[in-house]
Amino acid sequence: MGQKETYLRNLETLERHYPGMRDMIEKGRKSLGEEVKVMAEEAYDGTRILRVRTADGECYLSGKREPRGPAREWARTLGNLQENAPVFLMGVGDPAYLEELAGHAGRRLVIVVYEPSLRILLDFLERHEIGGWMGRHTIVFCSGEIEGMSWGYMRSIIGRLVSYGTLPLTRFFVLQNYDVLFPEETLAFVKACNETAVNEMVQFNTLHRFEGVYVKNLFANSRHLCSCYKTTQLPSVIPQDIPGIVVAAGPSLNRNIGDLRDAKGRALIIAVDTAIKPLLNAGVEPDMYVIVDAKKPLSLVEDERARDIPLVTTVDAASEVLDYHRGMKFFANEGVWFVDRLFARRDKEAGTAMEGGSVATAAFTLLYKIGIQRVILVGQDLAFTGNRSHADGTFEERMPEEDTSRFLMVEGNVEEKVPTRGDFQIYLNWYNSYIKGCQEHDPDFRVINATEGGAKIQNTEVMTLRDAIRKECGKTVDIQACLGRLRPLFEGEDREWAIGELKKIPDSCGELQGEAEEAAALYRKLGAVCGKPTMSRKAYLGVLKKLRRQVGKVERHEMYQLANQSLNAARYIIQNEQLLTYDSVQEEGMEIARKGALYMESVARCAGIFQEYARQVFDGWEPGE
Amino acid sequence: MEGLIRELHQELYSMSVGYLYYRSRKAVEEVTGVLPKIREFAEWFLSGNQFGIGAEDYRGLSATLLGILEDIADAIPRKDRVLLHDAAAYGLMGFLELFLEGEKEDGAEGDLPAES
Repeated sequence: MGQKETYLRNLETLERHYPGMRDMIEKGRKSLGEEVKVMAEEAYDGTRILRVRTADGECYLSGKREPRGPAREWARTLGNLQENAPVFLMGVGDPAYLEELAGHAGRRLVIVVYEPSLRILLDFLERHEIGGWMGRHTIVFCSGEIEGMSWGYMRSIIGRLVSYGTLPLTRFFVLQNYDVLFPEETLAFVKACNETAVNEMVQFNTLHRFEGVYVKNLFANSRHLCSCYKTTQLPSVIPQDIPGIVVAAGPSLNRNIGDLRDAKGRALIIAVDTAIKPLLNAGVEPDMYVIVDAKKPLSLVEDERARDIPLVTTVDAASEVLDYHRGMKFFANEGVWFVDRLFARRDKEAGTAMEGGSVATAAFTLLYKIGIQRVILVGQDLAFTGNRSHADGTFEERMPEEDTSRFLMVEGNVEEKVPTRGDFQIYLNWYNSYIKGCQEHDPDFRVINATEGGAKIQNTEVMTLRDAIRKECGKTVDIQACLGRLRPLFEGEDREWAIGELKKIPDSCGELQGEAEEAAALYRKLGAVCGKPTMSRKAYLGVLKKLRRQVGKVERHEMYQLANQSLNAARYIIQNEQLLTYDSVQEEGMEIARKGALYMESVARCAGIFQEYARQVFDGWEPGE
Repeated sequence: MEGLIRELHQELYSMSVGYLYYRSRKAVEEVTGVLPKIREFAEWFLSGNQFGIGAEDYRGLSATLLGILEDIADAIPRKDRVLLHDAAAYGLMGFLELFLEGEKEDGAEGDLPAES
């Protein structure tokens, strides 16, 4: 078959799998630039190999002597890939890699091929029939040079395929020399894969760390919902032409904490929980402070002067802190089903959750979402300035110096390089991309980094806090008077309704327990059907049908979300093993039944424990006005 | 020369293992590090037919070695790891094995061509 026929047939195959792709590729082909030159040569065994020239270099993509050798060895190192395992391959300039993968893998794989050069992708499509492979595997071809396949698209594919559960089964591979020929694209690809993997791990570990206190906090804090405020109310009372100041508790806060006194009444000052004590001790009362940590020790904020300062928080934050606090409490939507249902009665606006993973990034996103155009960062070091982790007066009166000799070094805000650690770097990356996104959306949005030390954050203006206050804080404002104009979210009948709904939580947990026990019983029945020497297809399908309905009931139950979060490790085991394949339907059915019963029994047990705790919280609870 | 050939073969083998199995991107640095040994071996081989083989065979082998050296010289400045690995692992290593294989088969050092 000629090149043209192969190409057209491949386009048809792609169009069949991904409608619209033919036109996208054709459109790209017609506007191909001359940046990449592809030269074909013959290897010593007659194989066609490519030598490619770009603005960054000129290299071969396959060897002359053993053009298939490295790909063969690579495929060997992949071992036995699981069914539906995601494989991300950057580059198709040496087609032997995809041939080895798609041609010889015994199981169906999900292969994502990212080829930075459309010219190379076209060269491949003109010479390699992909119809057979596309029938055996799910293969996605992407190229940065095709309109509509930007990095956002690529990231969304990676995000959809890579989860904590599938991470051990996932393979990433960049063909040799692509980093020389396409350095920027290679870096972006590796970063996208790495960030997705890291985010998944962070999310899992965070859930794991807090799963023991999650429901305890949630139920205890729910009592505050009936007299709460919502962050979505803030834009209606906070003037947007004043600057917002995020005061984090980084070590450089020691250097300029006193300057903040001049900003009081001239900006909206939001502190993170850990910064509250040093601020009060320096004579600065922030307008609001934020707590999101589910295990934040009360001692960090335990100060009579802090009890009435308006608090921005989450419903799963440390309940001891929320109980101790007496002032206005602002909550945001966080995707907790029963809480969002309560909010929805009074406030339909969703998507207002604070973001970024840290208390300071939460404060930052809140200011942005209020509509404030100028944000000043203070004490947001994201690094060990002076080899210290936090400002004095936070965890200790005088924070100790730490050995940072083996720490990762990043570009500094004031110093050339500063030591940092993994979690700080994740927040730094978040700031870099979030601020960029904010400024793309709103070109007038400015961020002034007045952290006099720490790591450099991209797209921020660096200046001293004194200068930032002098330049930006010209207008006076009485934030407490502004907040005083707000009414609580639930009043009158709405409040009574919310209290009534909260008091139903113990019964709701009991209901979930019953539904989960019923699902577990059906799973056990499925196991019995599959365990018989001759499995009855009718009985099998009958139980499956009932199971689907019952599991659906469990999964839709409001309290199931809490059980699911609390069973983080069990969920991981199930997700991790869901791609495993078995020799027979019978064997697979028994395994599904065993795991399903175990999981549903755990959900039922969880719901029972939740009910007991909910009773302690809500039975006899009489909220004051 | 036998010791040098063995060392060079081992070093190229390590480079190739890194390249193939650990996705190492250090092939250029690693081969650059053994260039003096490659040069010494090439000078020795190309200094004349001292191996008791026919002139035609010697010319053929010399051309093969020169082709390998040319690829190595071409790949290093361009940081072309694919060509470099191909030339070093599938070219030069195989060439060196001509002098090691005999020993492997017979266990006799005498099978190595005598040094001039």
